Amino acid sequence: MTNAATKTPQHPASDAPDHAPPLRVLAVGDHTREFRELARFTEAEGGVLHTTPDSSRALRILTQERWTLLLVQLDDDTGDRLAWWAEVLRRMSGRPRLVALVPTPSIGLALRATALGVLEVLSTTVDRERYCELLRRVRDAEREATLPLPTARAQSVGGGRLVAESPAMLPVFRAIAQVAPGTASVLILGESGTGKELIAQAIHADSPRATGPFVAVNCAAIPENLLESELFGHEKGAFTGAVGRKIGRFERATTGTLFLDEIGDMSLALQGKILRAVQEREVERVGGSDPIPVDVRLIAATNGDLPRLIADGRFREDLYYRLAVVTITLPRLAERGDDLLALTAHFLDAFGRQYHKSFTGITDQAVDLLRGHEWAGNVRELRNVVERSVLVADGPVLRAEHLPEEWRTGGGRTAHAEPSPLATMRDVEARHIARVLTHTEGQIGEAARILGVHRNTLARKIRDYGL
Amino acid sequence: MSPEARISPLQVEQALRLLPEVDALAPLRAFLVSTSRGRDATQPYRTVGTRLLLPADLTHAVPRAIARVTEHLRALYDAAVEALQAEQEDDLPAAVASLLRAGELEVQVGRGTQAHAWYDQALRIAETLRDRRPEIAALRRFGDLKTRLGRFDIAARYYQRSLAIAEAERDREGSARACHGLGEVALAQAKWQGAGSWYTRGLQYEADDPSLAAHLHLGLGEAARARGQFETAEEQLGRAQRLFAAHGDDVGLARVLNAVGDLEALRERRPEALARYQEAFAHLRPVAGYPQLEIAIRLRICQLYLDWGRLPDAEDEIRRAEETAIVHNATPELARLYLVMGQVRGRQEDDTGFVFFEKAIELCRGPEPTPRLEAEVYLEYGLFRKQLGELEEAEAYLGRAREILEAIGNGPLLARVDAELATLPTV
Repeated sequence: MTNAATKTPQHPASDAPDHAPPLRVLAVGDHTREFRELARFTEAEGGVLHTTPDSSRALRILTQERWTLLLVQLDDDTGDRLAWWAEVLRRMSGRPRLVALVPTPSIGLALRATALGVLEVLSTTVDRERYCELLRRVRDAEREATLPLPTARAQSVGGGRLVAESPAMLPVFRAIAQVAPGTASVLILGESGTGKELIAQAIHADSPRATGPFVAVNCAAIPENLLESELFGHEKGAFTGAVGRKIGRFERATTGTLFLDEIGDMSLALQGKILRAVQEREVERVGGSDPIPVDVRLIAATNGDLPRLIADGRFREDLYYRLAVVTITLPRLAERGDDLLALTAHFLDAFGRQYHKSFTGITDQAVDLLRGHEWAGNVRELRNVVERSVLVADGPVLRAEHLPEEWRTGGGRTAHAEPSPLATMRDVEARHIARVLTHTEGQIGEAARILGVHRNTLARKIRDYGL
Repeated sequence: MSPEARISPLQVEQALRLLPEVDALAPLRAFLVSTSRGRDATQPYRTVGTRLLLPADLTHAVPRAIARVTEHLRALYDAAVEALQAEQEDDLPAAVASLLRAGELEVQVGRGTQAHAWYDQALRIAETLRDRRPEIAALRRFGDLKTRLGRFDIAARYYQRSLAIAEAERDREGSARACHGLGEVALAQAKWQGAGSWYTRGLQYEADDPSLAAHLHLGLGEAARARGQFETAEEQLGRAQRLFAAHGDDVGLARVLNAVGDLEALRERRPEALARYQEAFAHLRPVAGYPQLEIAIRLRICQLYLDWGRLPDAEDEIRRAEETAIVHNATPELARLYLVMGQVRGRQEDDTGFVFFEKAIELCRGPEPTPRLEAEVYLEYGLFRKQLGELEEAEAYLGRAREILEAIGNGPLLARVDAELATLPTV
């Protein structure tokens, strides 16, 4: 055991597993005797354990160095403290896994700990076997094989902004190509986060109105009392808070395209006003008396079931038919197969440039986690996940540890625990070769022997897969 | 599908529109907000108004709300009865103390107008007494209240009166506390040198209260940091930290670590700043009842992430602060959070970010209006519009900020608004 202030070099035990990054454990608390014992167990597993007596010092040490595991000694009734530690670690790059040491672990605390993404709750009197098994589990998780990132190719439609290769997106591209040159209103259907606005932008970009403005309104984001003036504008003093004249979005979109997102959330009264604006091609500012001509192409979108809303009397049928001249339905991300990885690569590149980082690979475990996630929030969720991963990543490879903690602890919405059945043979083979090469530390001959193929065959595959 | 399953929850703003704004329902309105549930976390424009609630859930929660109201009323009534008993016993300083305590209870639940009434009554009695210490205390409470409401000029006048009497009465502690108040006002108005002078003067009284001394050193550290004197700041904050630590004052330690975090952030030592803010949380965690401080620390972390360019982390932090503000009905803090959210969206050139400014303005005009903050929101709203090239609206919002500041009197902010108005091209 070493005090964090006076570290000693690490001496891996002779029987420690090889090819794994060294385990660095930080123990916080004042149970010196127990920590001494834990230090012995850790060293036997090829790691090193440092101690620090309080959270203040621990925080400093955590920000200065990289740690694999954080052991925090807590009292039994200590859920809040545990939550605090979990929150602290969430903010750290290369964050260590959290393990709580309590005098008598309870089921309640264990459940709470799981929800917080805590790796394990152990008794202060540590069982050697259980502790060593935990260390091995952490080390195994760190042993990941790196795969090359797929090339994210943008499609030629819609100004080259759409990244998709999946067959599920083909009907969407066809529809864009058909409707863009015309003037018909378009209704885009799809779950939240499937990229409805991007499709609307693509239609606008390929239309004769491309030189005009593209104005988007998220109807669900704007409170009902503000939406009318946002859409149609208002004159100064029209109502309390109308401190100046405001140009509405209909007017701003003249000669271009107006995209009304989440239109199903709008009140019937406002639906009526939109219908009038579309039919009469003019709007009236709130508090104004003169009609203002507008020339807009309308694209609307919803994640709701408009026929059902019509049946319930919550959406105007006449407006529906006016909007749904052409309907485009977007698939869920889960239905887009390998687009998941192509989009991941695309976002890694985009956010990498934004945050001055560069990515060349992704580990097999990260791929498994991505494929195993449910993606209820679709592409928007993927974008957010990748952006956060880019922020915490500390090298050119996206690893499992960069992905949300709860995915690794089973707390996230996972579609399945095993690698996705959607993986291709090529994907599986590349991943397996990468894993074996990691094991042999890049020795092709040894890897070929393990895989049972000729060295030249393996060398070719390594080249083909870009490993 | 059963009819029950199809009942959708109400939105908070929908529910608040339905309930009349009568005094009797004010606690229920607050409770309704604090018990509402957040919507889908992926919705980027969600505000407190779009949170959801089920009236059926409220039925179960109403007894809890009533218990909380009863507890508050009981404490107020106790203070009132104590004041009456003190008057009967001809112990008017004790009566003043009871009235001031009742006012503090009102401040704790965010009812500034009610607190004002209690303090006013206390001051009127205190002014008739030969012993002037109750008057010194009452004036200081007014100063604290006005500072909280952002009425800095008025706050300064109260503290000045408190100081003048305390000095005349050779009340060292009263003088030092008044100086601390004046330092806080100067700090809030960005008058760094003035703030430093007031804190130094406060320390010269050598009041026999280490906690007060720690607060004065903290103030000196913050003033020095704002003036770019980092070494002095470090030294003063270190003194404050040692004094707070010696007395096991966790809240004081949280405040000073927050200030050290700011210092590290200014030195662009971001990981260290983050660690200090987290240490501040570590001290605050076991102490309940300081949501404003927790929100303040989270706002600093948010600012740190923004400067770092880590927008998603900044948004996460601000959403956590939002949750705290909603649960504790911290309305001015919530308005400030939405102001920051609006600024963040402005940086992203996202025009839908205006929904946050609108919500902030609505909150500032609530039952306990905060005109200074409202002016600040209008100022930032104007800048947001300017950033989007909407100059006519920018001018209108800056003009509204000007009107409010002229009415309440706030020189430094007014000067900033005028400077921004001057940079606008003629519309």
